[in-house]
Amino acid sequence: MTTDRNHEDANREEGNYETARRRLAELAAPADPYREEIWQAVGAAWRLKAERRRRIRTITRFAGAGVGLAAALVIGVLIGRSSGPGAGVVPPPELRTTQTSTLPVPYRIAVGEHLRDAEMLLVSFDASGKVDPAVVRSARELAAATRLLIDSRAGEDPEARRLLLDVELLLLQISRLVDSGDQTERQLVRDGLEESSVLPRLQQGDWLQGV
Amino acid sequence: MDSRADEKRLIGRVLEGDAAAQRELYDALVDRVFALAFRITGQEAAARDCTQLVFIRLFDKLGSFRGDSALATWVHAVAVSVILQWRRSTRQVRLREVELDSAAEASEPGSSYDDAVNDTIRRAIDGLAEKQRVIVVMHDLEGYTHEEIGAALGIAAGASKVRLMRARKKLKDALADFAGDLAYDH
Repeated sequence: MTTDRNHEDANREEGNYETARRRLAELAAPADPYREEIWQAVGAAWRLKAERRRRIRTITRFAGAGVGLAAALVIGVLIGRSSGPGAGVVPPPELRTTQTSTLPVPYRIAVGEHLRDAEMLLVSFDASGKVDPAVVRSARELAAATRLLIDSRAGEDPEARRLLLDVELLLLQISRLVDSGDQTERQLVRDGLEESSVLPRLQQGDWLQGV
Repeated sequence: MDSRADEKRLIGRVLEGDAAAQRELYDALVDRVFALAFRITGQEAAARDCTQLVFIRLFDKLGSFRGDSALATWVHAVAVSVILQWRRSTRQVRLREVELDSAAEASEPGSSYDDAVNDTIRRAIDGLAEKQRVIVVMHDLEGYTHEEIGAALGIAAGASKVRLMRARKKLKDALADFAGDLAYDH
């Protein structure tokens, strides 16, 4: 008798749960109301990432041994942090990043990764003694990607915009360099790097923090 | 996407920056990712942010996709990981509770009973341990198999079944107050 009652209770519980489950399952997720909006952000990020992938491959291929230049760039970054232009320089308060950007996460990722590439290139530019065609080509591609970011929602963040505009200017200057032996243009880039404190700002900012 | 070989080709084009391939991959996956994110977070805006994040992270991981499982299964594993990480970092539980409270207050006359049942089970699901909750959402609400859930969570299909059984027990207890009324729906 007790066993029958237990069995009935179990069946009732099962039925109740199934009814509630079915009701909840029928409350389907909205029919993707943000499909296009999400694609705008995803598509832009994927284009940048594909471009970045291609650029890195081009640079490493140019280096012949593959890892040579990439390693040099990484070492350059490390050297740049400790002894390059701006090393040990604390940017004035108005130049520091707040690290509390209100940008949506996808854009913070895009900006963070992009600025990391820009930092690598700017450090490698300053460390080298001659105009490197691979660096010039990368600067051109990075400048184009920078413009894409500035014109995207990332450009609505005042801090990101200021930094991206300064980076874009330097990248454009580098992208126009030719190996003519004339040091004037190169000096302009160096002056720009110093005056805008771009490297310390890039090294201090952490757009990927908390992502 | 008909076969693993097609998937691999598509992924290659996506990584090369082929815009049409990127859109094709996105269209093939976005609905289920969004639905899963919506179920787990309980909010449209949160689901949107999670979905964006899943797809952005996906690009970095695509290169490591070996084709051992179907692409969709692999993507769901990435999605679950990203959504749970996001949920932990943003403490969506509290936000969701606020939303549910507001929804209950705003519910229309005549539908309050259904809302109460739905809210009760939602709250009960929210109150489950994280891994149980995800399994309930994936299996009972979104129709994933235990094999897919196991792959997504990195557990055996059998473990998924056991956790689901325990979770259901708790949910049934939570619904005890509605027992008599729900019986009419059977």
